[in-house]
Amino acid sequence: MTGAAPQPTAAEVPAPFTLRGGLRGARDVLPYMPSALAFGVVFGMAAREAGLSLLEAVLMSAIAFGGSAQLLVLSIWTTPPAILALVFATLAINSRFLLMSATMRPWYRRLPKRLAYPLLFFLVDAGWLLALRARERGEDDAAHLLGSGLMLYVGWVASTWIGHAGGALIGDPEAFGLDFLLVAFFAAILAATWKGAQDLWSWGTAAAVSLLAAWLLPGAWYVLLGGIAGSLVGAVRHGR
Amino acid sequence: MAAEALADPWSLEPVNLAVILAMGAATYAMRAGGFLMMRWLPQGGRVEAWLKAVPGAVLMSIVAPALLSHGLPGALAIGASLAVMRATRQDLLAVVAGVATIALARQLGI
Repeated sequence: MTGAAPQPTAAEVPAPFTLRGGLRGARDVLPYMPSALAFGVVFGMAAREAGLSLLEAVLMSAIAFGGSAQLLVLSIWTTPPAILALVFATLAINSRFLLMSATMRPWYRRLPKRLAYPLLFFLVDAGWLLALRARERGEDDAAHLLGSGLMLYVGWVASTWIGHAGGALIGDPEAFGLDFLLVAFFAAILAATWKGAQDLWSWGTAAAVSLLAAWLLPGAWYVLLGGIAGSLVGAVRHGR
Repeated sequence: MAAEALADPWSLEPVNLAVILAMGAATYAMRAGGFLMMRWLPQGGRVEAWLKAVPGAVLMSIVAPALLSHGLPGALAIGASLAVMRATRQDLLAVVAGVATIALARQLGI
């Protein structure tokens, strides 16, 4: 009943992967670098407070590479650390990457696997959104995500270092509203992607489920749950 | 010179390293998992409609609870962002307007 595996379309053109595409991604992400750097500094300072060494803080940024999950983990860090609770919290926050990486399939399946899987390491919120936006404008170069991702990665690791080393470059990021930057970005993109009343069901479901989940559940499962519920409603209502 | 808070900046506790590696594995599993999962779903039709609905639903699921937690300054900032986005179609300007508005609202103690 499951049927055959999906047939790759006969002449599927491989996706381009060039330096120029990477540079376009790097350029697109420039406006978001200041807030990424500010948060890296904040994370570095918080990691020091939590008792992590410089090496441990930098390793966490380099290996886990997920700002909000790392900050949450620090907030529940104990000595010695409760590994399971910390990994569970990481999963709860980063579960949204599941949905984001699913949307990369139609594009990245046109790459060799040995390239597609390493590239997905660089999938972060801003880079993902910028890549999808660029794709709507006709971008087809798979290196776009790598360009933005590398910028964010290097900036994140370096600013973690700076923050931990005690360089309080900025006082309180909240005073500058920097903690709000991504929310404002997401809201603006959301408004721009509005396609009419058909989105109302999907978005309304997402809002309702995420609010309910944020209220009832710890961690950040609300993004995954709201995203699944809203997108499924969108799929069911498709073509009605 | 700022090292007095910690004995050794290069110390690496084995248990801390274990946590960091586990966090990295969990995060990469999410990053690769969605892509891998789509291998077993048929392309086109309903699945394509579902994928198209994902970005809006994910964004809304981030924005709605964030908005609630940021209270009135957050609501004002989103209003400013949306107004600028509508007028200019420039996401960067919309972001600047939102961030400036929330910073101002906090300064004013709203």
